[in-house]
Amino acid sequence: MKFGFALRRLVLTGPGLPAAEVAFTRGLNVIAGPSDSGKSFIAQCIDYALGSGEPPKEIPEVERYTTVILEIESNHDKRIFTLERSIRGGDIRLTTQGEPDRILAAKHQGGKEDTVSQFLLELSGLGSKKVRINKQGTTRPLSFRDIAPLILIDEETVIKETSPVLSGQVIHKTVESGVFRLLLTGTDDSSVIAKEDPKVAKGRKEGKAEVLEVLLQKAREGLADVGEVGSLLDERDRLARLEAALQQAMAERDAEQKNASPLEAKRRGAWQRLRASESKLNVLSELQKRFDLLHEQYASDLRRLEAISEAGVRLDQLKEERCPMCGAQAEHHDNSHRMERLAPADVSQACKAESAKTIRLLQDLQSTRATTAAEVEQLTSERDVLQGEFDAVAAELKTVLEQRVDVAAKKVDDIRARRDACKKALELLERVQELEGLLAEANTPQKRERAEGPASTVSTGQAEPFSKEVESLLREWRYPNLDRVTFSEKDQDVVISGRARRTHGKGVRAIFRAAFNLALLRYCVREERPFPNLVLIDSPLIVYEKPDAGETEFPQDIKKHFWDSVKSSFGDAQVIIIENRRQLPSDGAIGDVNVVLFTGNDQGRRGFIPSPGGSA
Amino acid sequence: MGEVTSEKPLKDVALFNGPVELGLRALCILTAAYPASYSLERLVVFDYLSVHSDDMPGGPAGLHPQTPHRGGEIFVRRGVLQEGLLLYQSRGLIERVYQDGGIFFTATDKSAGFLDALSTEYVTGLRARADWLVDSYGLLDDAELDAVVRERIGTWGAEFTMESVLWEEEAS
Repeated sequence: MKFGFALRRLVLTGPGLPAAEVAFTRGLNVIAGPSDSGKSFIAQCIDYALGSGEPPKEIPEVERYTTVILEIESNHDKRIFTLERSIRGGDIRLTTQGEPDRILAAKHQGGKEDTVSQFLLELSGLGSKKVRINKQGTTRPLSFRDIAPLILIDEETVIKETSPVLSGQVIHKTVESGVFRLLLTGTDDSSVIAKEDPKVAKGRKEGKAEVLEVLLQKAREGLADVGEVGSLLDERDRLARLEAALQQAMAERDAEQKNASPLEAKRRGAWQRLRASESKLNVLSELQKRFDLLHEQYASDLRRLEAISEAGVRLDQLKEERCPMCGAQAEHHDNSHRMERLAPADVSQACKAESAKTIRLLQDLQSTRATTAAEVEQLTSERDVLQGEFDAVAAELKTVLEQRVDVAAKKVDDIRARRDACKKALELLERVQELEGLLAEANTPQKRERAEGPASTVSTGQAEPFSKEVESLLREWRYPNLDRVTFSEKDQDVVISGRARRTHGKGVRAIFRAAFNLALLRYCVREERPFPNLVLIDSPLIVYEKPDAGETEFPQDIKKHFWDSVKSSFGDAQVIIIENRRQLPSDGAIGDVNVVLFTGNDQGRRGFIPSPGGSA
Repeated sequence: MGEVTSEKPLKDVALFNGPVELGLRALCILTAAYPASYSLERLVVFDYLSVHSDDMPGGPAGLHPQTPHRGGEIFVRRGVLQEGLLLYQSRGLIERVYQDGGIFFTATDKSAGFLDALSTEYVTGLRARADWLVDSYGLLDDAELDAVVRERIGTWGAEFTMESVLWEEEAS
């Protein structure tokens, strides 16, 4: 067991007086005896030694006793500590082997190490926990005094109608249920951040309400613009349907596009072939133009050669009157520069040769032109075929695109538009709802904002494992007609078989109370929750002592099962039951547990405080 | 394909656009204009227009094909034309006259007879275009004629915009 501690010994001392002493073991301890034998005084002393602000009741027998000494043993390392406190109040001396004595303040002070509270909390594994003290979320460190009511139950509280968790004082409720939640869930309030005081917040909220009104108005106008809009739920439903439809439409469109893509590739191929063919044709037809031009040129050349030749002959026939160079009369001219160029007759001769050559060229050209023309013709028909192919594919593609892809794409666009409209409507609806909520909150200043973090009370759900523990204990005790045990969030108490604990008579309340606290112990042990892991209950079986009307019929065998169960349930943890001797099993079947028996007379041990004559 | 040009060397002599041919064309023009006399500048322009008559709006069909960049021809004929004029002058078919404006050329009383003796289709065509030229532009003075030519010369032979198609396709 990691957490908690067990009581070993309680000693009451006074100068010149015999020590009053009672020893405890792990597991079940029973302190039994008649009234006024000091049983309840023992409980008070223990509580006092553990830091209670209330000294034990002054009874005549203890007048001269001065000191309460409580020996405890840590569950974690089995170290033994002694807590010593004056019965008249004051701080506590802590003694342990191997360490100097320490003085621990009885009063808990948050965060301070040297208090008995902090010391015991450390032993219980609860040293650094925090609890909330109000609904605004202000926190303070946990105190051992917060835990004490859950482990030390005196004979008055055992029959109380209020929840075992609560003291009944309203101002402590937040702390008390917080402590219970901490024990059940292990979650403390460290993370809680304090809210501002409601009074300060009020003014702010009134201003906020105005702004919210304006925003709400705007959102509602926007909603009106959207047109017909259903409820938030309807619109969410519609959005989901539209999203699904959109997905499907997109998939359909993609499929159609995929179907069209081979056709597109085909069209691309046809276009490329057509383009190549046209390009070739362009080249050839341009060539043809040039051939035509060349043909004209040759024809023109031939005509010119003819004319030049003739003119040359005629010119030659004419008698040269003047030198063409110097204009001198022929008869006065020496022919020195006449040889520099050909005579017109030679030109004529050359023209004839040139003509013959040109005619040959012309013939070559004619055959080339014929070839080209044939090629052009072939290419043209080829081009026409390709054009046909291309047109066919293009037409097919157009049909596919128009009839299927475009339709599918249009459907996608259509649904998307409707989806977007729906989304917008939803956004506005959500906004309106949110603003209405905020406005309602702002308009009810008396309603306090909940602090962040865990709720202060323990919910039914949170307490479910604990409720089961109570139920299983009661079942072990054979509580009659037991049905389900649940936890009421409102009462912070158990409801047994559908009936609240507080509505039962005090005897049953006591049994239930015992069940409650023992269940908490067993739960914490099993779940290894930080806990002192000891419980002291004074008079759980009061139902057999002073039954309320209607409780006389209470089955006797519960007692036996109660003891059996408690004896076997807690192992190393410590349970101390203080009870009237009559409630012990008459057959002594309680077995090998530590039973401290007071007789109230001179037979055996009379009571806790030894009679001046010394104990028998 | 062969080179599309009329400037083909034959031995050392230019048959085409040589003195015989250019002189013949000048003779046709001067004969049509007779007895008017023309400057060398006018003869250069008229020589071009006599074979590319279709370069002018409303002109008759050209005697020569519409080769690319033919507009440039007009700048390279002057020298050879002078030689042609000298050749025909030496046969008494063209006369050189000196006037206030400089040197002018005119046909002689033998010119028409000489031309009439020529029977080729080309010469017939030349004479018809010479008549058209003299009728159409004979009254423009040299400066006006020069302006007309400058205005159009850039478009003569610039029809061949598809030239690049051949080059590109051949390169690829």
